[in-house]
Amino acid sequence: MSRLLKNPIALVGLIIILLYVLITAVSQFWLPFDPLQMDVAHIMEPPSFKTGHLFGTDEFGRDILTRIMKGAGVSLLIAISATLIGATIGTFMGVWAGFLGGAWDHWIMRLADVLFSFPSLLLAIFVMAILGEKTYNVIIAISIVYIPQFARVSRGAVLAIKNNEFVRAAFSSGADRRFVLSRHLLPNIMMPVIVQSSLSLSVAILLESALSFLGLGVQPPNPSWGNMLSGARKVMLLAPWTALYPGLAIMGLVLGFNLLGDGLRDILDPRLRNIK
Amino acid sequence: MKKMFVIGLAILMVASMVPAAFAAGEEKVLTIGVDQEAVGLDPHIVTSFSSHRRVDLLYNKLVRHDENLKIVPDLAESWEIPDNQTYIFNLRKGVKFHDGTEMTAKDVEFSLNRVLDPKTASPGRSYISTIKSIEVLGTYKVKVVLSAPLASFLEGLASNNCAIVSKAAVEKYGNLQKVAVGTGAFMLKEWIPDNSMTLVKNPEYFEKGLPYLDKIIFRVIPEQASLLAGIKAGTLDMAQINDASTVLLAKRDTSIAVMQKPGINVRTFGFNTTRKPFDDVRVRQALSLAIDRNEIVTVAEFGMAQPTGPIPAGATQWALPLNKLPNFTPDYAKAKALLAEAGFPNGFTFKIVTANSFEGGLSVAQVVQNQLKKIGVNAELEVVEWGMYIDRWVKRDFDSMVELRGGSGEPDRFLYRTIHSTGGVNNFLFKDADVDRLLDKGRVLTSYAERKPVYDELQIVLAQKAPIIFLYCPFETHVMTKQVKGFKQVGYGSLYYLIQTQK
Repeated sequence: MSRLLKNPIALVGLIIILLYVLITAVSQFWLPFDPLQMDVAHIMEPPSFKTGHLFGTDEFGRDILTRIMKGAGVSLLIAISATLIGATIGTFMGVWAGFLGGAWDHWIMRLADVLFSFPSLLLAIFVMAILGEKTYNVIIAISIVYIPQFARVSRGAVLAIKNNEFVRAAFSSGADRRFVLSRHLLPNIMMPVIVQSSLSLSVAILLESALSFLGLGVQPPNPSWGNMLSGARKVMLLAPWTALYPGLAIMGLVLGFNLLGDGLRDILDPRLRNIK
Repeated sequence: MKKMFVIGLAILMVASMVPAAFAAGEEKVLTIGVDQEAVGLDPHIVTSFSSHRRVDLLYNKLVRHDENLKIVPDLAESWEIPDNQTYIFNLRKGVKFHDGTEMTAKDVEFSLNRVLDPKTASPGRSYISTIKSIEVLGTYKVKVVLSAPLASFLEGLASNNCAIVSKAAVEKYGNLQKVAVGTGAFMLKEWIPDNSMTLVKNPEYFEKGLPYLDKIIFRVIPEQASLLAGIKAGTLDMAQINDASTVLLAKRDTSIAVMQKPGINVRTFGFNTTRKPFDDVRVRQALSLAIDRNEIVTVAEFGMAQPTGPIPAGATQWALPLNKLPNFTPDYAKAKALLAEAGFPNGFTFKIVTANSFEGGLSVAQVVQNQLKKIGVNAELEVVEWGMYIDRWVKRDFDSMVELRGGSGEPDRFLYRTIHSTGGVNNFLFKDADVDRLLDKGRVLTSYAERKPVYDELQIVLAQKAPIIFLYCPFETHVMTKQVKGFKQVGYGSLYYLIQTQK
């Protein structure tokens, strides 16, 4: 933790993310306006202190700041749960494949290769088309995209250490597979998995936005940054703020996760650590 | 010094002649941007809006609509109606098809029979299906006898789907989807699918001196914003624009001209009246009472539409003013009372099928959803992709649906097919003896004075039973450069008046 605080890049990332978490927490109890209530008298008003619409209003007269705050929760929820699910299942499969080897390894990794061969957005669209447009289906779709990525990362890490002396020593002193897996292998492969998770969170934000933009993710009138952009697309030249602020919101959070991911890699990677 | 002056003068004189010399021989070309490629060109078969817009210029009908939607002569110079089931048309003489052959009564007989033939599968068939016999009385005279009076008969003939085609051409080509042999002011020269279509002036067009343009090029540009950008950049001369925000942008630009007129297409919010709870008239009335049309027009169309009842508001000779129609003025207390009476004191939840396109009306659905919250009714949006939307429409698989319906200034044409229990596009599966009786009565009467009270009553009955909530008629908008002069809008997007357009 102290190393994290000493790394400026990771620290900035962490602060940005905490800011979004704070906004999400606040939005659960208080919002400046009703995110769904249309206000016909105030359509596409520019940002102003006087009206209280700090980020302006959208094409239905709804407050954009309110909708961004509400959307932050949706984006974080989807990104975090999808990454957690994808990381858990993917890591499990990867460790299993790497540790057992043989036919298990072959079939699990071929399955991962098949999933890998689709561009991630295409795969997500494909899954959404099958499951239907629901918020929790977005989580499932993104998890499925992530499973092969985590499987590869963790398998590689397991292969790299499974023939090390300390693993052999554990076996020769009578430890069973379960013990070796949980005590020796898992702790040692957590580092790449954590870095991968942090980077995956930022991609998940983008994937969720893309799906919602295409009308496959969060359904209107519920706000999500992606469907806010989709609505703004038509009026972008008339009311640029309708697209600007959701776009900035996405950019900020993605930047936060990327900075944190980069920082964490620097901190956790032993090879980089010793360079100083 | 003097010498230089003379030389300078000479140069000036020559220079001033050059543009004049070019102008004399210059082709007048109008490039029009369209957002969809034509599906085919055979006037009897086409259904898509995009195909109709090409047929407007390539073919003529016996009669046509003028810019006030009145029926005026086209290929028929005049007609007599000896009794209300017999029509005798006197054709124009010397009208030539694009292949040089003359248009005669034989072609008219052939064309109408082709439309009536079920094998042609023409959408125009239902417009004129009451024809009993067609008789050629001379080279330029045709008699049509109906099996029953049909008030909208001439309206039907004014449809592109009843255009007059060349008998010889159909016999030669089989169908006319890829070729055009009409009598229209423009002839098909080149068609590069999904890219462009070039029409050239018909030098033998029957109205002397017309058209003014030498060439019309259709360019397919799917995005509304790109159409506007094309006009601003000068690569396009004209385009029809549906998207209200794009129109608003066009209006802000003083260098381009925007023509607008209330159209006759109708935005509707309709129910599957066989599904619960929409089989209960009280529920439908309650929903109708919760809808504020002006608000929908303001938000979804930026004010560029006209609230309407069952008959398009632009058809002023038929349409009743909205304050005469029951359930058209919002009344939330009454709506809640009706819901309670129907057994839903706390409202209910249902789904609206919509698509994210102009026709699919996503923004309309969002405003409707918001308005229904006021009476405790929870509408969930089913935003589906366009192909799926059409599929659901065809299968009648919806609780409710936001649509854009092709309307007509003639009440029989629009309402019979839409809401009669046997109507071809009665997707609401609505069956009502009163409505059927009035529709059947209105179509066999021929004088306006007799028909008007029937359609007045029908409008009130439809507003009371509310199987469809009629919302508004979007404006028809054409955007063009300032050089384009003389175009007139008809009300359903027709490009007919390009024959009188100059550039």
